[in-house]
Amino acid sequence: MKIDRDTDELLWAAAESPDDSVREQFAKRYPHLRAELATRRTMVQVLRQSKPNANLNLAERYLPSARNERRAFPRLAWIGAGSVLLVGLAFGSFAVVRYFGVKPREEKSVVSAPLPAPELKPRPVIEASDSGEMKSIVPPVNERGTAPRPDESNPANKPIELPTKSLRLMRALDLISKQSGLAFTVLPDVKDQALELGDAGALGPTVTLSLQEAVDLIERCASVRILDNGTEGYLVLPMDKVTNAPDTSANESGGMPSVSRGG
Amino acid sequence: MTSEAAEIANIPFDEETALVRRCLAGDAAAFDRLYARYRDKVYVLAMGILMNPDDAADAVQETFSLAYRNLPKFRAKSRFGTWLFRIAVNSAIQFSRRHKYRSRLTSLDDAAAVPAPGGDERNFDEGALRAAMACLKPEDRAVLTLFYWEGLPLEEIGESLGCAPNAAKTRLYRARERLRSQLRKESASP
Repeated sequence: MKIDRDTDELLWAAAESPDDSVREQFAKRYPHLRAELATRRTMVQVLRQSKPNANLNLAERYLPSARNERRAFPRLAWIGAGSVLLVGLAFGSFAVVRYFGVKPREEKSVVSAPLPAPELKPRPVIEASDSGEMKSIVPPVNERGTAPRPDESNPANKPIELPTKSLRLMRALDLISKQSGLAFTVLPDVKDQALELGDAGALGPTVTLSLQEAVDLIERCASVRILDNGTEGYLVLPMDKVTNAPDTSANESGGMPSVSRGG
Repeated sequence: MTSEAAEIANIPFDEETALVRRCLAGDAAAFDRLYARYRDKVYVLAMGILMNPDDAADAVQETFSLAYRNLPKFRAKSRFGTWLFRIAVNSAIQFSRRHKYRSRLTSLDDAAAVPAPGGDERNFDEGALRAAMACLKPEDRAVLTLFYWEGLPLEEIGESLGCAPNAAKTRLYRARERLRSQLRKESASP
């Protein structure tokens, strides 16, 4: 059933009216809407009757009052106070460090194991120049790399120059002793003999060797054994007195030859 | 005389306005009296919109807190009650939107009150009406509550809803039709 807007508003007004005569008049004028009027009247009555009662607990609930509101510290005030406190702490800690000389605690290494020993490397010598600048003097480098040049003050590092022609044992030992500054003690059983230098002789009239190379060359060319005697120099002994010579027997004394003193 | 002075001179001096002025002057007891006068009305309004006693009580709490905080903004162009109702309607609608899931829940009492399928819609009772109200929007429930429970005229309903009286009349008409349609729908549903 379609009801136009004006009639519908009249219908609602009659349904909401507390006066029964209004509804009777509406029912007489619009008899076909009597049922609709009754329905809306019921709806309005139920709607009005369903009004809830007051909540008695409301009186006990929080009541905003001036006293309570003033107690609450505004949020902005909290933020401001916190900021001032933080700034104060920052300046205070700065002042303590700056003016009272409190140093921050150094951090300890968490590594407790001992560090490996550093490799020994030649350190550059640093000297102050006249202009006040620091100058580093790098150790001299030889042709083969960065190893330091041999110290020639050490007798073992002095070059030994030997003639290659008609050289005899005693003459060679004498030349080595003079050039190296080391003493050679020759046992009585050692006989002077001519030295055949072999390939070394083809190099020229003289050959320049290190002390060890010279000693090795003499040992190869003569039947002698030359032993390092520490600070006293070298000891020259005949090969037949060396019991554990490399070519005759096994090394029983850790590689060091032993000397048997004959009669 | 400035416009502001003229506006103040035209303010009707009633008891509620005097209480508001006393409250703004620092009299805490004045707001207590306003609270005691309006707490039940605000509760009924919130109950009509939220349809839950606990939520309505919370909305009352929020309404009076907002009113106290915004009391200096009250210009006395309308009655204090109308201004308070406007705060209450907005608070309750906001509350209803925040707790939208609750509107989907219907208590067993309400469900049992729904008339049997095929029944006459003239036979519905309060439970059926409540179930139909629960299906409406909070805005519709607000205008129905203000009109049928608070008994406010259309002018004050318009002020409480923030609209003109004619708009309030239109809103009331549509809300009533939706309620009636909802009741009919529930009566016809199996």
